[in-house]
Amino acid sequence: MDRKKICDEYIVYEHAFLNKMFLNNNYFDRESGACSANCIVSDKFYFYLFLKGLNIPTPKILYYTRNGKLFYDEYSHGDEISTILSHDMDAFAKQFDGQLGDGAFAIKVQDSKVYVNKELVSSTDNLLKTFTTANYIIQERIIQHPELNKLCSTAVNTIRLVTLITPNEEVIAVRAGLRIGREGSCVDNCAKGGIFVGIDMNTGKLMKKGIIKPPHGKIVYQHPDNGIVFEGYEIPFFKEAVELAKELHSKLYRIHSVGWDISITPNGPMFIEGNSLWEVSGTQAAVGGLKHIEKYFPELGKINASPF
Amino acid sequence: MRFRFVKICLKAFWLFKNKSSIENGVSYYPDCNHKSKKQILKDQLFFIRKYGDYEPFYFTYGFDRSEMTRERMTSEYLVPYNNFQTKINFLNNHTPGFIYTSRVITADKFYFNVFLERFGIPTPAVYCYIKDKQVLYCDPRFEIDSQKTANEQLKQLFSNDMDAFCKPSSGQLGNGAFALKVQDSKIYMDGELSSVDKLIDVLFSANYLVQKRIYQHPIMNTLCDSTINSIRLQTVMTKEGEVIPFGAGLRIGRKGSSVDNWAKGGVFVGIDMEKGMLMETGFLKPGYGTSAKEHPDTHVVFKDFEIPYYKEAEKKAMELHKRLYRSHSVGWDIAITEDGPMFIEGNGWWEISLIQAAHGGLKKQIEKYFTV
Repeated sequence: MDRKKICDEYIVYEHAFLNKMFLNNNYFDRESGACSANCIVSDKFYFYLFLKGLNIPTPKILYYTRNGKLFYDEYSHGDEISTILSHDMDAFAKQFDGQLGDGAFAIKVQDSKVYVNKELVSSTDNLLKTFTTANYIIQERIIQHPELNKLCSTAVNTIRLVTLITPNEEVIAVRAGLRIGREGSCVDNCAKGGIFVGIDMNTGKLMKKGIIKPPHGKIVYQHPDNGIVFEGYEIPFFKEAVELAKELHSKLYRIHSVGWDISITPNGPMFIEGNSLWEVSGTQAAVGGLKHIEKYFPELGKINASPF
Repeated sequence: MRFRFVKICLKAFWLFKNKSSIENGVSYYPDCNHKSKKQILKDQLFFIRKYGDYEPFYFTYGFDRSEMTRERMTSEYLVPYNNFQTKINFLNNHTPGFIYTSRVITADKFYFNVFLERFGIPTPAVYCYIKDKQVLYCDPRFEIDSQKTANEQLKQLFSNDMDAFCKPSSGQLGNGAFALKVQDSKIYMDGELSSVDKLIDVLFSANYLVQKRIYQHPIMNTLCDSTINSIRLQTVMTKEGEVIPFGAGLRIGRKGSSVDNWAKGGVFVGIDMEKGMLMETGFLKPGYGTSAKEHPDTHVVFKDFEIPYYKEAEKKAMELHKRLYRSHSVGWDIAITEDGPMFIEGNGWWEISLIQAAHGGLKKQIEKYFTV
C-alpha cells in the first residue's frame, strides 16, 4: 500500500467525502429546482408511505409516536399512547431519529402480556413512558430468510447496497455488503460489533473478508460465533434486491445517492431504510477502494455548475 | 451596512426611473379619497428606506387611499412583498427543527399524489407518469407490462377508455396542460380527434402526469364553467406543532380560459373563513381589471356566495399539514367536487399579495409564525 495506490484506489478523508453528500440536500432536478427527496429517504414514516404507495416491500409501520402522542397507527384508535399495547403484535421498536440501532428493541404483545427483547414485562409504565418521551416507530417484525438466519439468528442481517444517479440520469448499483450481527445482539450495526462482509455484485455471494469495527475491530474470515465461512456463501434474492433498489432510486429521482438497508425474507427483498449519509469506510475496508465513483461527486464549490 | 446603503440607493434610483408607473397605478378603490402622486412616491421611498425594498402591490392593497397612513400600512400589513416572500421560501427550505424538509412532497406532483393517497386525502388519481421519455409509474390496475418499451406501454395504456387530464410535472399557469379522452380507441386531445402517436409525441416532449379528470361541484360551475375554480388556503405550523389556517380565497377563471390563475386574468375573491362564504370584492390583475363585486362574465354576485364543503376543505388541509410536519407553511389549491374537497397541489412558495388584498393586513395574525 504505497501512497500512490492509496490515493488512486481509495476515497480518503471520509469527512470531506461525506460533505460531498451535500449533493443529496441540493440535488437539482434540471427542471424543477432544488427540492431534494432527502426527507423521503431520511424520515422513516415517509419512507414507509412512499414504498407502500409504490408496492415495494417494506416492514409495515404499526405505530408512530410523536411529541408524546400517537401520531399514526394502523388501526386508527385515536392519539392515546396506551393503545399501542392493546393489540397483539410481534414488532420492533426503534427511535424515530435514531442512528446505529440506538434505543431499538423487540416488542411482543400476546394475550395481553408484553415482552421486551423476549422478557416478560411486569409493569408497562416505563415502556409507555419511553414511547412518550421520544418519538418511536414500531414496525412489524421481519422474518428473515433461513439462509441469513444461519449467519446470525438474533439480528436481522441486512444488505447494505449503494446506488447513485449518474449525470445521464441512469441509476447504477455501486457496491454491496452484508452486515451480520453477533449472537445475542438484536441489531447488525457495525458500530455495535456487527461484521461487514463484501458481496460480489456479479455472483451475489459473500466475499472472503469480514470487518469488525474498532474497538471490537479485526478481520475475520468466518463468523466468530458459528464458524460459518464467508467466502462463497450465497445471498438469496440478491439480484432481485439490486434490481428493486435501482427501480426505487429511479422513482426517487430527486436524490443523488442512497445507501439502502435491505433484508431478505423467504419471499424476497424487503427495504428497511435508506441512508443519504452512507459511509464509505466499511465497504472500502472489506472490498477495496471506491475511487472510481468519486467522479460522480463533484467538489462542493463546483456543484452549482455541475452537469446534473 | 455599506451594502445596505448601496442597495437602498439602487432601489431609489430604480424607483425614480420608473416614477410614472409607480405613481400612476390604477386604483382598486376608485370611490375613496386618494393620496397625491407625490405622496405615493414618498411612501414607496419610505418603504425602501425602512425595509430596503418598495411595495409592488401598493395599489392592490389600497395603500393609495388617504386613510392608509404609514403607521397603518406598516403595523397591519406584511410589507414589502419581496421581503416576506423570501421568508416563506427560507422557512420552507430550513424548516425549524428539521434538517430535511418535506417541501419536495408538495413541490413534486408525482410525490404529492403518492403521499396523499397514503394519507387518505382526496387527490386526482395518477394513471401514469412519464419522465425522460420513460414510463416511470403506471397505475397497476392497467396491468401494463413494464418490460416493454415506453412507446408500447403507452399504446397499451391508451387502448383503455379514460377521461383524463395531462399536465407537465414542472408546469406553471396551466402551460402545456390538456384534457385527454379515450373512447373506443379514439383519442381526443382538448376535444379534438387525434392519434395515439401524436399523443405520445406530446407526452414525450416534457415530463407529463396523466391524471383522472376531475369535475367540479355544480355550484362552482355557476361561477365559471370553463375552469376548475380552486380554493387557495394557507396553513402554517407553529413551533408547538399546531397547524393554523389563514387567508382563504377562491380563484375564479374567466370565460373561455382553461385556468383560474390570477396572472391569466382570473378573479381572486377572499373567503370568510368563519362562514365559508365569499367576501364582497374580487381582485383582478392590472390589465385585466381592478376590483369587481360580481363575476365579469357570469355576473354572479360574490358577497355571501357559499362554497360547498369549505369547512371540510379547511379541516383536511390542517390534517394534511400535520402529516407533513417537515413543512413550515403551504398554500393549498383545493378543488370542490360533488363528493367534497379534492387537493390539487401544495405550494411551498405561496403569495402573500392577493390574500392581503382580499383580507386586509395579516401582519398581526401571522407574522409571529414567520420569524427567521
